[in-house]
Amino acid sequence: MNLRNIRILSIAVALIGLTVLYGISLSAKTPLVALSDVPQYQGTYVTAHGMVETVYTTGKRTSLTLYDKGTRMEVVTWNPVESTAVGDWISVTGRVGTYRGVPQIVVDEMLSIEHIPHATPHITIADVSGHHGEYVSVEGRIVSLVMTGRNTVIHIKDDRRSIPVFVKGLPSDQDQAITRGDRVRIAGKVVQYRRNYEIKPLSWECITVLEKGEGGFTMDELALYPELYKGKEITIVGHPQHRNGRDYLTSNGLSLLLIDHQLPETQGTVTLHGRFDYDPALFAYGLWATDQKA
Amino acid sequence: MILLEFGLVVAFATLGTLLGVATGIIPGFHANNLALILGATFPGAMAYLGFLTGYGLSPSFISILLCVALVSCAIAHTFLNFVPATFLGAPEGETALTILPAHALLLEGRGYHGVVLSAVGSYGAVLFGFAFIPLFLYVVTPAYMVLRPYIMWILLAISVVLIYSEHCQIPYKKVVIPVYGGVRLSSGPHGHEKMRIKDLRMGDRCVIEGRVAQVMGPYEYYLQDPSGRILVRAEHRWGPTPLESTRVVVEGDVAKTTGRWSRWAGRGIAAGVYCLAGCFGCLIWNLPTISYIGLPGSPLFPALAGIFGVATLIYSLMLTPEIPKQRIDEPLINWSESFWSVLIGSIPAAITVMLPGVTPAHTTVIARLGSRDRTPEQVIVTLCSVNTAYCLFSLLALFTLLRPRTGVMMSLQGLVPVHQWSGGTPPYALCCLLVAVLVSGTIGYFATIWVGKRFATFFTRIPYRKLIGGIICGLGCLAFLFTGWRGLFIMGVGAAIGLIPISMGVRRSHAMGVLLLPIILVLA
Repeated sequence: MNLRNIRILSIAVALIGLTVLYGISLSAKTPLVALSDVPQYQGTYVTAHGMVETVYTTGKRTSLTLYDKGTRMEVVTWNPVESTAVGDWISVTGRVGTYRGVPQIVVDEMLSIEHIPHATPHITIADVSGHHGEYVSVEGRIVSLVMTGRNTVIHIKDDRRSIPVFVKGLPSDQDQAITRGDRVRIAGKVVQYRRNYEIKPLSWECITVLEKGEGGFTMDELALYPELYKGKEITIVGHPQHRNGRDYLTSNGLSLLLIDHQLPETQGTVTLHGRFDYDPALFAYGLWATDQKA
Repeated sequence: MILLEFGLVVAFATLGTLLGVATGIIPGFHANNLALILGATFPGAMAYLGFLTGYGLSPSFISILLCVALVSCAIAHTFLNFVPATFLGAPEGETALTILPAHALLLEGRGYHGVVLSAVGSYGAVLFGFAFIPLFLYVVTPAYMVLRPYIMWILLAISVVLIYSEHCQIPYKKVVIPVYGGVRLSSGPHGHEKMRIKDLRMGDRCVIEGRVAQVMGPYEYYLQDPSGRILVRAEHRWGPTPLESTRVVVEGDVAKTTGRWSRWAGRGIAAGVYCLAGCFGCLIWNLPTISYIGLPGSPLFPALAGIFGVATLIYSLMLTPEIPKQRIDEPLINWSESFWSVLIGSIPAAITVMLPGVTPAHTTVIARLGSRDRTPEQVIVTLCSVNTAYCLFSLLALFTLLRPRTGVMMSLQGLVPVHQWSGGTPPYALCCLLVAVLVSGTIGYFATIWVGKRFATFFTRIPYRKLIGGIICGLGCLAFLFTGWRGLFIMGVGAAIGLIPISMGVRRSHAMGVLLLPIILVLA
């Protein structure tokens, strides 16, 4: 074979080969694998989904910890990932490598990180116990918002049940304008604290306000943390109710005993202001109302 | 304890060197593939060497020992891989447009001389590398910090310089080369049928009659007839050059010659090869491949093996050379020239190791731009010093810049904690690895000469075409095992792309666009 033929043949084969490779690259997407299976794909490109648990940036290098179904995987990228926050569900495409013997996904293209909306399974508060240790998303109305030192405990309630939500940090530190009465969706991990289930979101960004409430103090908060408000002046809204010879103020299925106070006969809501305290004679907490608005 | 640790480092370095010697003589097998295989076997090796903890050695030191073996294997590989590169893949000397310096020596029966010179170049690079460590630490590393934001532009500039520096001139002008005695003054009818200049075709034997339009120089003039004009260039230099306006009859062969645009045509082809290889690189960059043996595989392995390994072998198979009997005598080495060649090879390696995607192939081209002596002997010394110096400086770059520039360094980074060295006492792991480099370099030097001598002795007894065919099949098998059918296809396309620069006569290093272009696009 002479040089001329070698030239023609090599150019023809190269061009045909590149065309075929283009077709293959369009059709052959990187395999979508579960995070737990990623180590088996050492040295190759894979696509994996997971929730961002941590984001750590040093210089141009950003490390993300992805979580899915009990498996965590380190993702390393040298591209800016400003739009990715803790709690986001993302899809990453990168090469599987190892760093000090630990598998990791190295992402070398910015487009390789995509956000996946609502990938966390959405459940009702009643079903939380069946998802222990998993990341879930629940919806409910905030019935209490209590700061404990440097953290916050929120109670959310849907139609049937309520559940505490433990969030690191204080709401005032965040831009989130979360108030009592807001209807929210919270994505977090189901954990047990003193044998009770609670939701532990990774950050305040995992709490999405779906509907703004009226705010103010709620009866639920009083029922959950009576000792916190013992001896304090409070203002509370509810429906007057008279039963067993005593007056109560009811709201959201809860009743507050009114001590030494006569309520007017009305079907509407009333707002009472007074001192919340424990009555040892009745073995119950009650309200010594001093002011009343119809 | 220090003696025990030192002894183990030397022992593992020797072990790694022997492994590097074995892999170095496998043509087309890259040290990065070895790093992938060794990286996959390291957890098992760590468990196997667990008994060493009974002697008071920490698990981190055991992992350093494995890295010592890996680095010494990579260094020895850079020494030994020149042996198959010299003896295999040479094209037929007369027809080849480009011929590698080692192949030029092989066709002169001096393949062994080339191997000895390569060993000198590689070992010189090891010694130079050690002397250059302080300069690397205090000059190159800070320079990298300054230049880091502009790496994309530097890579682009390097690509342009490489293409612009292409020396190949593509002949495109028609020329008539008269046969011996084929020029005479026109005097009446001529025995042969005359052709018009316009109708001449490449490769024709023709008889043309016309008037000398312009004399360009001795035995070179333009001949004109009513249909056009053509250059006549007498190569045999026989008889006088006709004067202007003289009518002559020329009998000769129509060929192509270089013209004003030949250099630019060469650059254009170089740019075409770069872009074609770059497109190839972009297409395979993220292409998933499946390994049939459960080992990690990357599409770059079949691509690079195809472009630089299989293409050369196929070319050699198509234009099989007559390999003469090889001389086994010690070559005369010009030590002062060799010293400069090592220096010219090693300094660019220290600089280009900062840049991602710039490989020893590019570094060689840059080094050759600055070299005075372009004899095959000194080019071999420069080329081999670049390869070994690049391997050594990539180790230093890992510890000073925290950037792994080769597959071996990427594996190493995953095995031991890499602490940045910015001055003062080097990290313990780096000290052990530098000892390994020295041990491996010394053993590698003697091993290269020994293996080269054996190769030169037995090589001519082996049927060349069968050997080349077997190696191509072997590379195909490796590509299939590592990357499956898709990898085999990539290797085929890579071989076709690799054949273009060889058959066109431009440098093969332009095909390194397969790495450079995707990196530039990622950085952009």
